[in-house]
Amino acid sequence: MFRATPMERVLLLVPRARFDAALEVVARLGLLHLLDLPAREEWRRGVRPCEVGERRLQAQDALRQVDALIEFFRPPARRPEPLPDVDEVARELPTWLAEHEAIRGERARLHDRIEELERAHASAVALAAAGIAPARLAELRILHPACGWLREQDQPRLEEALARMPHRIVTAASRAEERLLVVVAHARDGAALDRTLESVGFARVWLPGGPHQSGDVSSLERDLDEARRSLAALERRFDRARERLATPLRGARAALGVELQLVDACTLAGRSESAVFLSGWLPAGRAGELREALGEAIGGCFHLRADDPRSLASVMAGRDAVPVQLHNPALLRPFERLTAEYGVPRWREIDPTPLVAVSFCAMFGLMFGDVGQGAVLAAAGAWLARRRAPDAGLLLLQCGVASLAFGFAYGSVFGVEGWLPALWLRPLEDLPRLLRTGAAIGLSMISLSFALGVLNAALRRDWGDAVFGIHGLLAAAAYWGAAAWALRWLVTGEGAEAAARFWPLLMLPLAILLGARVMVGWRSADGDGGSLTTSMLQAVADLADVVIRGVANTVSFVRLAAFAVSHAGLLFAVFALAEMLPSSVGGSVGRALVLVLGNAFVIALEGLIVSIQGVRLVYYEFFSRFHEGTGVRYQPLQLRTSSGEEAAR
Amino acid sequence: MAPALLDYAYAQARLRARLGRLAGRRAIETLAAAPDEAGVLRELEARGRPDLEESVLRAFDDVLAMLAGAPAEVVARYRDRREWENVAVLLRGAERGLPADEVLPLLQPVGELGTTPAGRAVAEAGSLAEAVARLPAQPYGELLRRVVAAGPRGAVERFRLEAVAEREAWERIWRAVESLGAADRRSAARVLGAKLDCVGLLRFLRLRTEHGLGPEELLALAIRAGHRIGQRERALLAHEPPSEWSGRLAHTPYADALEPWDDAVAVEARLSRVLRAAARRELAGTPFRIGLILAYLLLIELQASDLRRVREGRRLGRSAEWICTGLVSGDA
Repeated sequence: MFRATPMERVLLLVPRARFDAALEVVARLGLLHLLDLPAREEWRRGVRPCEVGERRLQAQDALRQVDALIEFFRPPARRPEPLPDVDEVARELPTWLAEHEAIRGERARLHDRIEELERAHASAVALAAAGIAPARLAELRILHPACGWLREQDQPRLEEALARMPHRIVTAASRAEERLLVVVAHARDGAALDRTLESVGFARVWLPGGPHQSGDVSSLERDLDEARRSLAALERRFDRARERLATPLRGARAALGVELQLVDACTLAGRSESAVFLSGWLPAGRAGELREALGEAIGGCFHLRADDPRSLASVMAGRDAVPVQLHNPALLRPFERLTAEYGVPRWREIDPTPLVAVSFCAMFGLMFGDVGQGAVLAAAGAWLARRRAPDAGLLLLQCGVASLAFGFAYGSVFGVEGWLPALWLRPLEDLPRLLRTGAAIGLSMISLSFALGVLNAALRRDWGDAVFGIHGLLAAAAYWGAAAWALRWLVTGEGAEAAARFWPLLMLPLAILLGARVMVGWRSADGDGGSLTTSMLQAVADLADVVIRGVANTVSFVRLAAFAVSHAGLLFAVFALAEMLPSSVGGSVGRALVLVLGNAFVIALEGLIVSIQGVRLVYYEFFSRFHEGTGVRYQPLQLRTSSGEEAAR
Repeated sequence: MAPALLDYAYAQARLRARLGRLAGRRAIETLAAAPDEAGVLRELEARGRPDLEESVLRAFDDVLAMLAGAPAEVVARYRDRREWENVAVLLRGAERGLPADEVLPLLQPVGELGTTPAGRAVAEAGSLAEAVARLPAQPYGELLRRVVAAGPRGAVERFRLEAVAEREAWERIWRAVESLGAADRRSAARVLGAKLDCVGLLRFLRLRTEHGLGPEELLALAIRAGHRIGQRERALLAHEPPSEWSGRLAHTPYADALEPWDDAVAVEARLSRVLRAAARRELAGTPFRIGLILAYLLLIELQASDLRRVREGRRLGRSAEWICTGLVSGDA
């Protein structure tokens, strides 16, 4: 707790011929947070990046093709174990693609054929109903007929185009925005008519017995049946292929995903003529595991060196960041996500997760205190933690418990205040006390935040910042001076009288801080031609910011009381609504319904608002003095298949 | 304020300011004096227009951000008409059997084909008919599949598919124009209608001289929209020889541009100048109409076309005089 996992930096040297195997071991072990070696200043001259362009292109190309096959066959999910070799995938891929192409092409052909036959059938029926016999059209010699469907909006275009050509247009049938037309022109204009019809999008129907086909409607129906049977047989073939290819395709997808991850990792390695260098961070004391795994995979053909970060000049000078892995007890782990959302601490800084957990839960409970609603939240959290989302569930469970505890303090069960005695106070009845509590929590949190800011600066060995920083010891002393005066005022009511006594406590640290910052600013600006006046203005602005933010951040915690009152007020409104219903049987049912729905509404709405306020107070008021969140998160190279599980190669 | 004034007040104020930034004739002539294509590209980069197509599309996007409702729909369709050019590129690639990776970089980033994997699916088609089959149903797929179904089996002509797609692109814009209010519709007709007239005239000329189409086919492929070219004029253009066009269209501003008619590139440049004059006239008129927006976009396109001519001219080693003869821009 409070401190991140200690890390050490390792440098791995392997012969080029063994690099792929070594990288696979590193990835499988999932311990090493890789560094981009070729990009580092001290390595840039000695090594070159590994060339992976062609390998990446091949893998991407194969992956795209496999994805297209999966999209087409939609094979059932299978867990491929072990994953196939990438070369094996490359060998099999052409066979799968050929099968895909054969089925796809044949399916498209049969669909087109069926569509055409259905269209011809519908057209033949429509023509018969209009008294037009396709066979008679076929017998025409002097005239050139054409039969087909045209969009209604295109008919004026056709008529305009044929305005000077002798012709006749007969509408045989109509359906949604389309017309079945028979267009007849002189045989000598036949070619021009056909090209014109083509240009207006006249979807020609080739009728049985018509000018371009022989047979009758019954033969058309036979053809249709046959085409449908062929399509059914093709679908059975598709199902068999789908089943057969399920494991190979899923396996290929996973293997290619792994291959691309390895290729990406390769780009972080640096190569010389005969060796490849890989560097990264892992938790202290685990280099032995890596050494052992490498020994098993590639024998003794490697060199591995592990360094403590404190022995590295680049780390101590702040040029290199040590990645940070937070580690807290299981109950606090959900709160790591709250910390990480803001950003992880820098190396050697305090991990604020335990403080976040305690303060967030306490503030949540204070704003949302109710035994019944807390129990509901805790039960929902316990269910979630066991079934679906362990982290979110655990967080909800702890917030629920806090709410339950404050529920006893307020004596409130689902908004009913008469069932339990209030162990502390009732929010709607003792608002001044609640406001004072909010302010006191604010004072404590901001004080703690100052203290942690000083501690973090000291841990970073940044003594200047620890004492003279904008959130350093002097600023903290001034804040505490002001806080002591405010406490005195709150407790005894002596404001102006006490101010004279506390004035030096506030002003002395501020005066020293002002002087120090003016001097530092002036000296650092000296080289750039900066003036004393500029430094003074800067320092005064900084101090004004310290004072204003200190007051604002502290007062901000008064919202804890406001939301506690708003929670009680909302429940009061629910009861007032329920009371308005008549005292009949129906009214009692309605009242129960209003109470249940009202409580559910309060749990959902207030729960959300209160958690947002809690996060806001932690992030903006508490973190701002000691936690910048600019650390690098420890993200080791780990092979993951597309379904998210670690690859089993 | 009147609604139209409210609709266009912000846009017209912004566009008026931008009009001053359009490159004038002198600036383009200076560019044409660059020693080679690399010099032209350097100059363009220095002026913030390294990619001409991209800068035109950006202008459309900027204008679209200022508009809403029916006027925005007109501008959006005017912008997206470029998708038919994507269709043409894909169809040419499919006909020549070019690999998808060679075709895809030529697509403009508009519409489904230019911005989604649909473009790759079409580019990977093995034949022209398959490419048409793979086109998204809207705006062109369904229509072109009808053309394929209407033609003789297995003998679909690419130029016809392209001509139908282009016709549809322009008519789609016109359908959007028809949904505008009366005053806006008149204003749009003066600018966009003139553009459609010019495009229509050039199509008649090219389909007739390059593809030898007969009058019925010409009329079937004609754009049935425009300002001064109506049904009567279309019939004249389809049935009379091009040498007669100038005389028969004497009542329109396009008559002078059609004489001589035998060099389509020169006719296009002369028509573009007529268009530029129409856009300039609209800019001098009432500002609170869509005409101002369309005129601005038209000038942007004409400027891009001039700059393209300069670049191409330099790439092919043409003289500065040759380049300047075909320029459309006047003084800014």
